[in-house]
Amino acid sequence: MATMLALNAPPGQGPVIQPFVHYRCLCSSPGPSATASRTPSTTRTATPTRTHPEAGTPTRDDDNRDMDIDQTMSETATPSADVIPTSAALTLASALHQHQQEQHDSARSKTAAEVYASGNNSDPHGSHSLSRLYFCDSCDEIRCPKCTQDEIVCYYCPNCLFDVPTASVKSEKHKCSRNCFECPICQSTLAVVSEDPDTGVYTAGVAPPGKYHLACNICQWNSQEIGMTFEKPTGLAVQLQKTEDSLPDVKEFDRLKDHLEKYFRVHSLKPGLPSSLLTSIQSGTLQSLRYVSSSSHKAQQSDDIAHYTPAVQVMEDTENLEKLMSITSLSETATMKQRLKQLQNQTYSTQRLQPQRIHLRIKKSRRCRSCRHILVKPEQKAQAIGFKINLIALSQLPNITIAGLQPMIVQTVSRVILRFTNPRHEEAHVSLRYGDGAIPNHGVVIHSPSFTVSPFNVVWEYEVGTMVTAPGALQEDVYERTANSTSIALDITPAAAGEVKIPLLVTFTFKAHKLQSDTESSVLPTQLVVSGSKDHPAPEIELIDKTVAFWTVIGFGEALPTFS
Amino acid sequence: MDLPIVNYSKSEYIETDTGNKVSRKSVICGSQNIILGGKTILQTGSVIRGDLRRTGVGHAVVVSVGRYCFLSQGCVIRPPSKTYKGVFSYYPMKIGDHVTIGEGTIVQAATIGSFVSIGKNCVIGRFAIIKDCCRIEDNTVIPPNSVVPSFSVYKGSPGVLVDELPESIQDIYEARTKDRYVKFIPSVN
Repeated sequence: MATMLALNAPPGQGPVIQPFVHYRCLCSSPGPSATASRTPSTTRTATPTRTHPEAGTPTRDDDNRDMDIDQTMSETATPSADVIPTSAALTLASALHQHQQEQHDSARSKTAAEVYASGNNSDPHGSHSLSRLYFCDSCDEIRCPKCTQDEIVCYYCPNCLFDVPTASVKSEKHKCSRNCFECPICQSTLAVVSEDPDTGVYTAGVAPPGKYHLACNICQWNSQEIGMTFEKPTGLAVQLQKTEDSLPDVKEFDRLKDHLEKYFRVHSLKPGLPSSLLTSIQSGTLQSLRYVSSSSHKAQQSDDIAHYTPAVQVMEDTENLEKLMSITSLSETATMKQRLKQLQNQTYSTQRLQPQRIHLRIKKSRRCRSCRHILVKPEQKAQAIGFKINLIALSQLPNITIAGLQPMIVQTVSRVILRFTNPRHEEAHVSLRYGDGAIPNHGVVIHSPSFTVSPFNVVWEYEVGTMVTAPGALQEDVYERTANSTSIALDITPAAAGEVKIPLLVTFTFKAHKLQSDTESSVLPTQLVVSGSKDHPAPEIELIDKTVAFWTVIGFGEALPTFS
Repeated sequence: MDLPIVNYSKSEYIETDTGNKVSRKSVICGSQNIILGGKTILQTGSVIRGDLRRTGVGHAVVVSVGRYCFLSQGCVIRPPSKTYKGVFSYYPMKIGDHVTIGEGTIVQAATIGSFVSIGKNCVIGRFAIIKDCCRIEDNTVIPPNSVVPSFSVYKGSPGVLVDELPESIQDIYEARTKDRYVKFIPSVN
């Protein structure tokens, strides 16, 4: 805490600490227990070796953590709606709930202190805002970009937005083969312009036949400066690629690639991977090649790779050195950024910088790493923004927003309103628990730790405000209830100055369509859950209750030491 | 955090039948050539140049703005122009739904898609095309004739790709623009 205070600049001088609500993905917890529980075989059924939760606790990895807190976490995540998880001395969960706990084992094997530590804004890997997360509906777990697997759906040029067939991507070196070029000086898009011989006026697009060249709209660079003109305005990339491929560096790189590829195939590393990696790196300069060839020479002894003899012998570049020595102004040399963009020939002279074809971009689909289900599948076309499958967390988990916030002052109670919005079409139940193992331990009183949130209904969008009840006037102890959201009040007493953030365990029970795989394992326990809450309607045949427990880290900005 | 409720003086804003809220202190030229999709807010000092229309042709739509757009204070919407075959002319501009344009930004784009957020003090060059689901950061210059593909974040001068937006961005921008419209209400007195 002392270091934290030291890092924080005095109020008013440092950057303003913004309030935030972050959700925690399980993958950020290291350790074999977390990974084991996420393998497909154990997500649905209880592992035979698993014993009673209490007995299982000491075997977990986080032995340096307070065991009592850990135990409390395990208990509170049980999906019993009537138990308000405030006391640390809770009764043990019934054995029927055990396999569900298994699903969220890694969530609960985390102490509140751990959650707290990773809720920092500057740590993007620990917790995320809801917008960046996914929710796998077969694992019933939050997935972050790190624990999803990307797959390429299609390649397209970000400038002309044409799809590039996967077959031709490699031969075109991951660059647009149409008329898209970027400026060698400022990296903005170049335009193909024609020089009208009569008037000398530049006009874009189709023009009377004549000389065509590339021009930059930003830095006024012109390909005529380097003597590059074209007879016709189409197929410029093909014309340029010919000259690219004939450069000695590129030839040498291809030769080396061919040389090494044989060995990659023989040694059967990941098939296809080295070759594609080499193509995408494209560091085909002789300078870098010398290192590659020397390292391959070293490898000869160990891996039996034949000695590679470069086709082009590189002399000591004294001429270039002399030129660089005699430079009087920096503007005569290409900058590092400009040179690195010149993949074939990293020249120092700005006069020899070539326009580059634009790099392709990809559309990605995402898979859950543990169950291999597709989480995100965009439409095939490059220009379409729709998704065939889009299991974003935003449309499945309660969206928590800070609806009311008082300035935080140390050792003074300030009231915070949290709003839970239900994106689902069925009523959902939420129960909250403050992870009191956090350091510093702020005083947190949750006024209604267990409540329901009405379902989302499209009709409400058109009559906003009509369903609102007066804040605080409800007979229940929730603060406010609107169309598909419920707001609750929290009283926070900051223990120390600095940023106030609290870990909050959210247990979310909702109705979901029954999956085929659920039939044997999940029916019985979830039926029991339903019987626990009175206001739930009788479960329909195809709908079952599902419970998801996850940690959130909520930041309320900075606490001031005193009134000032 | 929730968006704050913005109160405006009832005498300053005109509300149309489709729910557009247009400030009397904005500059709307050639209003017969401008289409506002509905529930779009034009704040104080914003400028839409509907008078800069194609030469020679009769009535034509010059600027079309979609639903739930938000044109902040002092932004300028001006149709793009070029000289083609020796004739100088303006060309129409289309802005999609749920588009936010920041304060002091000048837009001369050919097309802006839906679910786009443009920051403060940006310059969107002539005939730029901004596709759906994009964000342009504050103080960015998008060069003329350039294309901003979907789900990208552009920043700098000239604007370059700095980040990608998550798949949920469409829902986020839609919710935000709707929320902002609901919270843009006349002050009580």
